Amino acid sequence: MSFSAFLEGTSLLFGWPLFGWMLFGVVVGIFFGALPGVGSNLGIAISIPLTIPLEPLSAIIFLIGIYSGAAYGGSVASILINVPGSAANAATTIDGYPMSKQGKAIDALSIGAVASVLGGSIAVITLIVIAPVITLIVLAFGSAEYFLIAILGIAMIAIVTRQGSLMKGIVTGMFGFLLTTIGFAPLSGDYRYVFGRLELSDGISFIAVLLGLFAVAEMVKLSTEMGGIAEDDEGFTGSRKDGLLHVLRNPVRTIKSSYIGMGIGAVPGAGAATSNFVSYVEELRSSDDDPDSYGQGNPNGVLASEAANNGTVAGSLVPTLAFGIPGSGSTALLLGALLLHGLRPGPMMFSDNIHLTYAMFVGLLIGNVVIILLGLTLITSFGDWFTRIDTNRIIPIILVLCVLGTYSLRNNWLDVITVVGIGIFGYYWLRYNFPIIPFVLGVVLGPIAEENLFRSMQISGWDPTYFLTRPLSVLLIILTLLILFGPVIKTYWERETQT
Amino acid sequence: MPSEQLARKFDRMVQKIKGWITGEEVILLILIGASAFLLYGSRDFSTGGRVFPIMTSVITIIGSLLLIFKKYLPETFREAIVEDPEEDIVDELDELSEDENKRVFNEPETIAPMIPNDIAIMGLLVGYAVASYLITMFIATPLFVLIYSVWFKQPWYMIVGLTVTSVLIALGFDYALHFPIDRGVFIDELPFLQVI
Repeated sequence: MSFSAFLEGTSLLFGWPLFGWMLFGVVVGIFFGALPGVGSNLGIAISIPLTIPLEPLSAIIFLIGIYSGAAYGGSVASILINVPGSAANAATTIDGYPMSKQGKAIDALSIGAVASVLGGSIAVITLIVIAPVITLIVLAFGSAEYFLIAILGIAMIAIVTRQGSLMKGIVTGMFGFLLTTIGFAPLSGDYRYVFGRLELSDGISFIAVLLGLFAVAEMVKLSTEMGGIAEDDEGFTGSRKDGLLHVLRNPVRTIKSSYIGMGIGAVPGAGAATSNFVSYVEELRSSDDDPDSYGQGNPNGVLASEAANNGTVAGSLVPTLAFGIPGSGSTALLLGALLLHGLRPGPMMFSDNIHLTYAMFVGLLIGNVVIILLGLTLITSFGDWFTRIDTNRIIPIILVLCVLGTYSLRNNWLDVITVVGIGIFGYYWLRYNFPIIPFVLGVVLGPIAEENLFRSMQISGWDPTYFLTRPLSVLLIILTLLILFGPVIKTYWERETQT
Repeated sequence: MPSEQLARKFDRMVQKIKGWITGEEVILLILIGASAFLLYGSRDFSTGGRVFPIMTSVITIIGSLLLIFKKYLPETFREAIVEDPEEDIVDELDELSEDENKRVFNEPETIAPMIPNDIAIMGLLVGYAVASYLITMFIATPLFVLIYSVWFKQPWYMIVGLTVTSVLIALGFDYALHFPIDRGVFIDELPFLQVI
């Protein structure tokens, strides 16, 4: 570990206003996460334009704080009203809500807070320790590999997210790439698809696309869920101390769930939506408890889910920062924010800028302190307030923030058209089960993918066999082909063995 | 009532169209059309500038065509790559949302129950964007929130509160990010905002 870089990153974080932005981000994240149907994606999306005046590291730390806070905040609605704040907290409902109905809502919320903090912290500390190993891997990548890993990322996300078919994922990913070709191409000097309009010369804003997909489309979808989140009073009782002690008495469970979350988070496309269920199922499988007790209010179910989803937060930063491959919608948004603020994922984040990477990791650790303080005090006292908010009151404000925020990016009306148009189109994509994460990845990574392709072609004198001369490139090509054609081979094999 | 008859007529027309083409196919046709347009446009670019657009548009078109004509594909390939495991769920959700819209007719949560919520919001959003362009964001923003809140039958104090909040948000953007919320096609600037 580069200790001096670690110290530099830590000292940056403990300075003002970076420290303040971290704390504020976590609080905002908890708020967004706790609102049913809202979650970290929306919180990050509408905050991105607001971070434009900030220093790059302040902006990223603030957004990471939202990500981390929301991963915990989603447990509030999961436990109190059986509606997960986001997919990352879906497994928490299985035992969290029954605990709430048994009069142990505060126990469950406390378990959620402590498990989130410990799970997240274990993952972050591990990443800080293994960062030098990650650096070695990242530095082995060149232009050809960065182009191929963008293609691999889309293929992986298309298959891992399991939304729609694999081909739908590839189509949306490629369409995302295609949209980024609009505007001035700095490498070739072409003005592409501008039709003489100045507004188009800067291309489509990927932030506008992200806002359209994650904010506008989601709000339109939320509006179709009739009315707001009305809540019958289930009673808000229980013991903070029991919840806290339960987690502290189960260190092995917590560590295991944290590493499950971290490992899955490091896989592009997997994310906390997957990790919380995998961790829950693993807990069910390996536990000495009566299996029938799960789903009836077993606190270990809440522990496993919440430790994993916060472990994922740290794990998902690795492919995002190292290769620019987001693990989820939230990290896709973080990636967009990184690029917006001039921080390019890749070797720089693990070499010259590694102190910034350490600052982000340490920021997550500090954010966990805020989570546990708020989780064991305010949330366990007033958490049920979130469940009484009528979403019809939030939706117009969020839409206003989207439109104003988008226009503020470049003072370009094309961005407003983009956010509204993509929002409407994205709503129908969601409705007809088209995966949006590959599209997001395409839009965010398109310029980087093209740049790396162009550079590779220039180096090779426009010889496509150049990709076959580099061992790492060949490996990535093989992996991509396996992902694309593996399901065909598997299906064919299964049919053959059945007959 | 005439409006109900109109709504039923519209509903029947939508059902008829749905019998010819699905929503998924419409989306795929849009993707094919857009990609073909961009593919055609790439012929004027330099060699370096056209590689990526050609590559991505061709893959998009081929992939979309495979999805549209998936029932004619070999079964193994279709099952593994093209088939949507949740297609039945999507169809069910479509039916459910139609049922939901019918329920809205009977138990209105909005002022004009014959228009589904999602269509209404999309219409309001487009109107907000157009109004912002024409008569300034500062005027369009509270108008949008006001109409939305009235549409969704919010209590009067919420309507006022949300509208005021939206004005404060617009002013906040102007103050913090210095972009012109008081410029529109029909309005050059709002004098009272200069004082603020």
